[in-house]
Amino acid sequence: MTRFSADAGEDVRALLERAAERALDDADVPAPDLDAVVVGNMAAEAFEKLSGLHNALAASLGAFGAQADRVENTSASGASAFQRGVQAVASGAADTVLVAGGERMSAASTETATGVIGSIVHPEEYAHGVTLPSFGGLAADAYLRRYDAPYEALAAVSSKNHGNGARNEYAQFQTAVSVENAADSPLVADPLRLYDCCPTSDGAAAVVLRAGDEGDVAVRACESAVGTHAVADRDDPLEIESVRTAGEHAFDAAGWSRADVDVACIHDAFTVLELLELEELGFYDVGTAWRAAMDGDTALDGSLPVNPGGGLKARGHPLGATGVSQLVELVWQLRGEADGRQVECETGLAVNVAGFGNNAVCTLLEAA
Amino acid sequence: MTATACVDCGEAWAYDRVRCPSCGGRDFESRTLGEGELVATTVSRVTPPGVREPNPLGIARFGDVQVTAQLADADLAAGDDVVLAGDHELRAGERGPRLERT
Repeated sequence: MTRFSADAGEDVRALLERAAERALDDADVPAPDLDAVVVGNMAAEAFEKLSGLHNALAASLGAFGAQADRVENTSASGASAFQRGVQAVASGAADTVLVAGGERMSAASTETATGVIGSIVHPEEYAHGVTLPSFGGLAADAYLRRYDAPYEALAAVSSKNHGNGARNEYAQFQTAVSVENAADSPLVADPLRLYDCCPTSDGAAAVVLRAGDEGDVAVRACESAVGTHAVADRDDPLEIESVRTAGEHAFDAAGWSRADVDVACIHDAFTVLELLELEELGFYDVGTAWRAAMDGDTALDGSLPVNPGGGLKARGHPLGATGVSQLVELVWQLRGEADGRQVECETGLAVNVAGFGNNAVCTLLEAA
Repeated sequence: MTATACVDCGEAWAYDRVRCPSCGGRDFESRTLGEGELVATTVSRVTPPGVREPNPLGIARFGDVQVTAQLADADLAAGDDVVLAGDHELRAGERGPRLERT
């Protein structure tokens, strides 16, 4: 992957190329051997007026004759691109696949970027001027009140992820943030503050998938599910049924229990989402993940390390790259190559979410 | 604003869709929202162009149906009884009701 940053200073094609080259070198796969190239990207047309990224990438790398396309699933474009690659290999359609996710959000004005992100919102909610942080605020309001949890539980998630990011040379933010700093930051969508919300970012990440069992990390499941479009259509604003369903399908497909997972990359676009997703995935009973966060259960040395690479909060969130970057982090962890933030693990889970839960992709990996 | 209900099975929902989410039917009728209760609130402090800043928002439940809407006043909180009423400029080019106290 490339180091995620606020402004990479080059276009998304260059970012995808660099991440792809690194993945191909790591896998020792020459580009002409690729049967398929899948690019995950949400909005290059809107951010940079670019289209056909997958064709440009395949040609630049030299993967002539390969199948190639681009997958769009808003902020889960990366994991959906990965799912497309997994299904290509599982079906026998391809033996060797390059999956690359990337986004360059800095090329557009803040107004354009806000508009792009806002475009995924249901029109009847959009009419009221909702933003994704405001959905986060509504969920955090409901969660903290219902379970009598203090704001510091959310700040603890932010502090943990920033501390992990500080150990990750690829993270956008590499400075530790204390619970006090986080709790003191300006309000964005009450009760969420600046440090509860992930940044906009530029970056790319890539992996190579192969048929057979010669690799060092095996894909045990990659499942996805659609949820509601409008947040108000959920029976309960604390539900993210797409995450619950994708998780259930993944655990069923792999034949695993939750206890089998050693480390997890969770989609923390907002701190409260890390807690809600951990509960929806079944790692904690409803209303209890906040205590686990405050008790340090999800720290690097805890019983279930969550977001060892910094999460979206500290590593960054270049929309189409994020889902692939979660998998890159898990691969490094499973290989024992996560210098400075290594956790003991044989298995890992990643969940990448589209919008405020419109869709979710859950992947289970195991050291081979 | 009114809610929509399926003539065949009685399922109700707030926002337009092409098929009943419960039975797949396509025969619909209108239903008034009536009085509801706020489920969650927030104050959005970083708002898009054309939207008031700050923008107090809430999710309110009206029987089987929930809506997300602007609040008429920032003091409204979860648990308050509300109706969706009035004709306000919600954002440039969009007019609609807000959630206000009953």
